[in-house]
Amino acid sequence: MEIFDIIVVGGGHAGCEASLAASRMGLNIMMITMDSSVIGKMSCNPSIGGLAKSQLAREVDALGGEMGKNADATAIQFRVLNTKKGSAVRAYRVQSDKYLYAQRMQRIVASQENLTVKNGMVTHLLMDGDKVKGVSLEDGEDCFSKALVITSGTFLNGYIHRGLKGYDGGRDGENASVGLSDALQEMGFRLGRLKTGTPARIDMQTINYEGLLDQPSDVPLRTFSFFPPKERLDHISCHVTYSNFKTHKIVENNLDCSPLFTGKIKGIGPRYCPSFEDKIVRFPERERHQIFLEPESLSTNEVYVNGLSTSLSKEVQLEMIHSIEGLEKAKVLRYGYAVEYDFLFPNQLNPTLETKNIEGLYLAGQVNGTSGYEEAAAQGLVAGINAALKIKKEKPLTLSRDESYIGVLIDDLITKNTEEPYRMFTSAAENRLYLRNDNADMRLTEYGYRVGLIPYAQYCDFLDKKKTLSKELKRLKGLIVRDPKMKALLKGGGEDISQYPVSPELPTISDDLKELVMSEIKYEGYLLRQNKRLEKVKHLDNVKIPKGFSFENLQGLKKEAKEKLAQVLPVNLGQASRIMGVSPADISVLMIHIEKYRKS
Amino acid sequence: MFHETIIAPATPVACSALAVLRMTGSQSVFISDKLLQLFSGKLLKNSASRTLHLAHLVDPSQKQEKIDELMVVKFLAPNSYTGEDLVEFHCHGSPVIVDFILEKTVELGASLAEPGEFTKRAFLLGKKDLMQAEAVADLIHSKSRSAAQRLVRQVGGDLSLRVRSAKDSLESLLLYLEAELDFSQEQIDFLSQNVYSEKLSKIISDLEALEASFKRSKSLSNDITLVFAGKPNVGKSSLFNAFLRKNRAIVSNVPGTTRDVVDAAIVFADRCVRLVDTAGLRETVDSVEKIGVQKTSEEVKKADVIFFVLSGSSFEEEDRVLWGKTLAEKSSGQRLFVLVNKKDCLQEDIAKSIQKMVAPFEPFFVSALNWDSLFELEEKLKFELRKDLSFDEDVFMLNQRQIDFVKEALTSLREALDLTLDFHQEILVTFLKEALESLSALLGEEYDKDILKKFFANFCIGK
Repeated sequence: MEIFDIIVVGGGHAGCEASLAASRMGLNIMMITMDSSVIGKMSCNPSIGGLAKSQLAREVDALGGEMGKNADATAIQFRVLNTKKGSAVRAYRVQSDKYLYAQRMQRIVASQENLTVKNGMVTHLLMDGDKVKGVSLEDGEDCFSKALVITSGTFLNGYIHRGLKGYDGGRDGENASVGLSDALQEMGFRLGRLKTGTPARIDMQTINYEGLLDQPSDVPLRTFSFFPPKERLDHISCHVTYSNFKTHKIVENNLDCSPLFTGKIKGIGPRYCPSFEDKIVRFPERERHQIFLEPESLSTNEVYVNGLSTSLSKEVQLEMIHSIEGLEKAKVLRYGYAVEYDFLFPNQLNPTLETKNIEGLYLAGQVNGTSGYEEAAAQGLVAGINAALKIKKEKPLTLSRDESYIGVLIDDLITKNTEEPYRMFTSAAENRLYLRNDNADMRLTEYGYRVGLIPYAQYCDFLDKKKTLSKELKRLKGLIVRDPKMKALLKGGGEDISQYPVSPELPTISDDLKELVMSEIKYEGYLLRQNKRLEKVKHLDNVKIPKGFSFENLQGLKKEAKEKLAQVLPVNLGQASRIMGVSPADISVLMIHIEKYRKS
Repeated sequence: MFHETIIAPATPVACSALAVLRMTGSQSVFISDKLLQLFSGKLLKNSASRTLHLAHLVDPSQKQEKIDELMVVKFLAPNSYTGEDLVEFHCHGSPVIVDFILEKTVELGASLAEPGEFTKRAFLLGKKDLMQAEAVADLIHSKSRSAAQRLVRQVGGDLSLRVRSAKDSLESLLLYLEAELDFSQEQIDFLSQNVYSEKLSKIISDLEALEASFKRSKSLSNDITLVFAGKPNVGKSSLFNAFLRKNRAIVSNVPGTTRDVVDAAIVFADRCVRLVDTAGLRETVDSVEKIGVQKTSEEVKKADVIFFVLSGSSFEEEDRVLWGKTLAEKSSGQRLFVLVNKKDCLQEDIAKSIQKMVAPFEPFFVSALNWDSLFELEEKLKFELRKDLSFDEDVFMLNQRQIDFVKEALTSLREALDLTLDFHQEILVTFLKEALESLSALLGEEYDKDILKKFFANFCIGK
């Protein structure tokens, strides 16, 4: 009987990162998926990046993850967002060829040393006391491992809605994972239900593009990865159209057969990504809604109708689509739907993404109540790294809120109460001016190298870049002092790299580095100030709450605070202070009790 | 283990002989040196732990102007109450001096201590017995809870409404700007530069009005200066002594006995009142007396209440000149009372001339010699002073902490106003958030960081 170091359940964006990271760290990994032909599939919009998500994708890359490279190699449209704002909130977004994206990821997974892929459906966990020791599959087979990472996406008890007819399924045409939810619940985990949705895909050949706004790629092309692969695809445009009065009327007339408004859907959907019928009901005064037509692949005619996510019936969807300019004759290739699925309340996790109750069990991705590929990949990477570090008996890797969006994401998940699918926003980051797209490598490469995911040669290149950065900073600061025009250019805020005063000594300086230098100069003063403010609360993060510390009988705490604390079980005072309902006074009291506990 | 240096008065803030303030934390000695000139000429930094020093309290921003003479005790970690470096100021017990020290130390980087914070630090650094932990916890808890409640109650009525309305406007402004950073791709009309500047300026001017009213309230809570002024030999010093209930100033029937300013503090009408006896105002060739007369004029200028003293037994042209001068120089905030002393030997025609001269002021006829009508005068004065105070209690609440929050918010907002939306929106949003935190703290509320929540409710977001 073979005992793997780690079993990863699921082959989506979280599962791939977890499996690749752990096997690259030298451990023996088995990925169990219900269908190995859909590993790395982009189930919704074939797009990577966007505001805040772009930062996540670059952070994953800086730590040695695969997502950034995969997106770069398969991009067919590229845009820079927030160009009118400062570089701290600027972001990349690509449209990928969704087939090539999945194919490339499958190739990487298949060729990865120490990584075995197995088809099967996990129904139970095998336990050794409070410690996990493997899983049983539906067909009765048992697989053994020292640690387990579950990345089940929307598959746990997944249920698909389209009109008033619904059926069991994890994605359209794919079976739901049944059994595992119940098993987890029996083990004492608290589960909830969420909902998400996707729009129809239509045939490119049947769209009348005349009169529609064309959105070509931005130039110059940039990459998520700091060490991008050489592969490149041709780029094509996206297009913009709008819904209209007629479309809205169709929706209104069919609300009585909408699973969302007839109470059939009970799971909570994301407010930032509502279904089209939700928009119509909640904002009846809006005359039109933006709809993006995004090609899904260079090799097929599928076009993603972004903005028209819906769970109405096929007939109604067709009528809606035909009412829209440019889509009058569109042929629908696949219809939109909503999916409801089980998730585990993420405040049952430690910052390493290991569950608090079961040793060796890690959870990552949508099963933790998040949405989005980037959020999933980031968690998969962190879970994979930490499971591996645990087996190697090394110190875990936890990133802080003030050094990474990944840190913000995980801290939010384990601290706050999830009420809807969690998506990364820049406003969630206190240290936003520092957590930039352009410095993700400066912030995180060191960690990636230390855990063994960044190869030595790459690390040396990184150190060179760092050296050049400080040289360039010195040179440009000199220019600012001497030349008021330079000052206006560099401190004025545009961070326009086409204006960069290139030094004759360094004629080949990369766009990435130009942008980084310009940002560093612009934000330097503000960051100093922001750090001072963050310092004030930072010392709370250093006060660890001992394992086994009980919040139940603490004198002087409000009842609400006690309950919240007992539920979240924060690992340090900083985390405790971020729980809603825990006041600064409660933190003072807690500090004293912790000290007392430690001394006794 | 603690970075922040904190300060708090250890004695109640009221007129008293002495007041004690304690400052603890790594910066406490450094900050003290900026405010002190030790008589020994040394820096506190270079003196030993557990030593007592005589020093002048100086204002570093006003060319080292001397404010008070005080004693300072230095304790070095770990041998102090808190276990960290600690400095104790033993100054004169005037709320003005205590406020000054608080204000200046905060400017230099200290923070005002939370209730119970010194004790908390003492406990955490092992200076206090383990068994006291619960007691300390209770203390901190009850105090901060009641402090927050007090804050809300005290920022009552009008003032609280104004803070809240500024906070609400700021929140809605921030909501738009913040949402735009995360949803710039949506079809939403975000703010233009003009609308933004206008809205922000309005919030700033509202808060500036608050700041000004805080300043007014502060002046009301400071002590009141009551100056006895008038011609020589009308009995100013006698009246001063009578108010003081002891013979402080030398009294004689030689005109010009009082050559210098003599002052003394009393508690009167629930306020600290500083009584000031002055040299009689007259043309003189005596150089020492000249200086005294000069000082008198300065005191009269600074006074909150002027007792213009005349004699019931003699009335001369000089009195008219002085009265005219006093009336002309009196500022609108000053209160003027006309006292006619020597009621015991009052002459009918003099009384009439004085009444005619000072009309519409009603002169009080009193006698310092046999205390005739003095109590009535005191009652009248009390009544007048309490009128101010009750006004004060209704509307204002003076508290260094609150002023600091308003000032903090204003600093952040002014910095935001200097920046344009183009290419700086992400920065100015940081400043607006800081200001919002300050105002939330002022109101004693938890600040809801889920700003976007409201945005989702009001705008159609998402593809």
